[in-house]
Amino acid sequence: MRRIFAATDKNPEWHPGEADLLLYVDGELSTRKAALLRAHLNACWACRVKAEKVEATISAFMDYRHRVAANLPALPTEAAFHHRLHELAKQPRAKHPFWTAVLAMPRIFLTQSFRARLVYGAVIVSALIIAIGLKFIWPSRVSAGELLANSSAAEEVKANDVSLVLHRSLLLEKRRSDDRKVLDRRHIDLWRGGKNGVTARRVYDDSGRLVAGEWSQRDGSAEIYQRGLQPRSEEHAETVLALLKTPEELWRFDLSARTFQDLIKDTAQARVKRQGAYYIVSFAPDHDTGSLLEAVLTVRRDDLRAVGVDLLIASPRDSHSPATSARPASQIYSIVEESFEEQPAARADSHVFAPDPELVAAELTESPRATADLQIETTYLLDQIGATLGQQITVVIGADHKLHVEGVVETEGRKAEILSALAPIRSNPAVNVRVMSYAEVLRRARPGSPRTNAAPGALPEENTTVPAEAELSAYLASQAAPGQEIDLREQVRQFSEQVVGDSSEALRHAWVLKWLAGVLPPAEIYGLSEAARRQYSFMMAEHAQQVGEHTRKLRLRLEPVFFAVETSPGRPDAAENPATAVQAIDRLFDAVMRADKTIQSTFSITFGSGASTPIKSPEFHNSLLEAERLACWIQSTTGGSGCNTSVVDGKVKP
Amino acid sequence: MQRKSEVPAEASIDPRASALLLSPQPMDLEQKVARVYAALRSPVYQYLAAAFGDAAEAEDITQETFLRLYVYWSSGKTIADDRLRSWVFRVAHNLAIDRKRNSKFVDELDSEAHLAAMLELPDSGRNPEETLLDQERFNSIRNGLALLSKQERQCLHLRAEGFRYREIAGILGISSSSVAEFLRRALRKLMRDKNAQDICSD
Repeated sequence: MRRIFAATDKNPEWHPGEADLLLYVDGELSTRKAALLRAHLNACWACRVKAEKVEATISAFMDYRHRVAANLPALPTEAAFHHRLHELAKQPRAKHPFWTAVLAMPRIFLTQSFRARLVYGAVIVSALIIAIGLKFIWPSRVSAGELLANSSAAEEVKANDVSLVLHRSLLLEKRRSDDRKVLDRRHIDLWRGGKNGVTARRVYDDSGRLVAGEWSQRDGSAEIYQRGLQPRSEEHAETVLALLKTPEELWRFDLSARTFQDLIKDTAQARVKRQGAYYIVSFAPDHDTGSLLEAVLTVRRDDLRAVGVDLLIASPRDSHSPATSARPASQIYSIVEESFEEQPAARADSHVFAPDPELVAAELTESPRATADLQIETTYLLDQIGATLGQQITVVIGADHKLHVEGVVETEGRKAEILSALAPIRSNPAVNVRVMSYAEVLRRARPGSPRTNAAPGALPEENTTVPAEAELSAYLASQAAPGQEIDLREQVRQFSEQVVGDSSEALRHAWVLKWLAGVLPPAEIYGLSEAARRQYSFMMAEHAQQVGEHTRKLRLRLEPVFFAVETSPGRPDAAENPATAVQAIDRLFDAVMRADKTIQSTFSITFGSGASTPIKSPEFHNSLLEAERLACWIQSTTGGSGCNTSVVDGKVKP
Repeated sequence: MQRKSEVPAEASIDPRASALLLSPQPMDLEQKVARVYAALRSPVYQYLAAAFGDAAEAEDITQETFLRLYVYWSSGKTIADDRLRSWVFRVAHNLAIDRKRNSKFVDELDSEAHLAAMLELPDSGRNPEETLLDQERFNSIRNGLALLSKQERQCLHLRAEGFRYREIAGILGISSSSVAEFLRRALRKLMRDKNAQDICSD
């Protein structure tokens, strides 16, 4: 390196060598030398190219190395390490580590008397003989099938021993497979045995909170409790493969050779390796068998007990980002035994086998639960942007006590609009929003049809005649100013379109009313907060008003054509007032629907004139009037502004 | 049924183990070792596999290394935080050498071939030309690596792990200038194979 100074001073034609370039690139030169070299590189293109070649080689090598690393066997036996470490930590700490004792041996030989040396020598030789003998007696290679069978048999014996109660603490860790970051950790406390053969499994989170539990009987039936979920029971033991499909319930995975055997089925495919005091049984399915990519079981050699399992499981395919990563994301679930003890059944506390009241009651107190208030608020937000019309979106409280807002909308823009309208409640943990656009639905190509907008009332494009053509033409001709040229056909078409449109609108709002009424059980309406009740009433009143207005428009338009003024029936006072809003809404919906049927059959060519009421009948007229009246009634009982049904001749309010 | 609260899952693992140990909570030794293991196991494993061969053996030595760390710490000895990483690599390296002496390890001449055999280039969305170029670059590095001596290989992989020359020298038990020389030769072999041209000799 001295050369750098000497050379640059004397000879401008000097160039740094490969070694110096590498040192420079690696930042291993002193500041001063580095400055000199940098100055040279600034000046000399040739050397700069050389330095870049060094860099390029480094980068090619790193690239190669990275890929090699990515291809290294993916699932080393992590559980085994944790177990080995744990065992090591449990040992009483020796004053002198083992090898200091070994190192001290030669000294013993030097300092002790001949007799002592003889004794030590004899001990060593006999130890060697025993060790060699053991090696022959215990073959080091066992097949996976044999090992698992023996281990299962040992488990069986233990399980059938009613005089013993088994207590194990297990650690369940979920890790991301690429960087092994711990995503989740659970502590499992397991009691099994006694005369009933019950297995009690309690799951704690990292802060020691009881989050789940399972109580299973010897026949495989089980009660499962999970915080935030309804307790459920299973008649038969779930197969381990079914369990893999719901990785969030992998805490129920039984750490045993029997389960592992069920998991891999074909033991010939598994390989066994001896590692210290353990056997490591590893298995990777050679064909695609679903989510399991690899499984490793750690078995203690001395009592053949399964003490750790690692499962590499592919994540459920993420449909949000299809085909972005060549390798599917996967997670490692490892279950490691932290402690193990057996006690006589008589000594075991019987309450460990009884489900904790805390867990059984947990779902009532702890989980975020959607309230009726929340439901109304959400519905209100949706209603504000018209998203409840035509049932685009459903708002229901599910069995998990969360509020599910789900639906399919026409466009991305509409979806964004809905999501932004829902912004005030979306952060609520009790709300689960899933709104998709049609495009998304198609992309996902899910089986099952999306909930589509019923979108009634589209008038066909073709300009064919409608059933009421003749009467309408006569009426419209009579209305025209004398001598005026009018396109009767066009007028008829417009008239029909308006009538059908109004009727559809009325029906749609009646639909929403009916749906709103069904959103909450009547009893819960009284439990609503003041604000929520106001929102609820407001929505009712508004939709009732819409129904009323559209029906009135309809009536005013139709009366001069089909009903002679003198034949107009009086107010349908015969119908008694409804008892409740729900009843009123039912009747309103009924009336509007009947009217719509008639209108569709009269003015729309798509509808066959089936069993609907003829338009000229008083029944039809009555249903319009009743709808108007009921809408008004609902509007006033829900605190809406007053309405005016007596308007017959006046203009329709906007 | 309350349990004592335990150290929460680490938020993220710093690649340099030293930063890990700045955790404010007192940890018991087992947890401490487990954390170091979590942070360093892949680099150590990777180094052993690349520098010595057999991946299965490498895994075993990796575990052994961290168990040694536990024993070392539990005997009351300490390691400065900024030395921890080289300590782990030095122990791993020495364990690997010991095993090799007991001839349990495969011959390291096979090691690159062994690893290379496991490799297939991903063909994710690249055009064939790019893949071909990639493959070429890839093969040349692989061929170059086959020419390396074992010290050259070890230096190269340790440097790739981010160790400075002084640290590499400590791990391998050689001098810093030897490290520089081994690295120079290693890169030169990779380069020569890469573009079949000898740059600059001194």
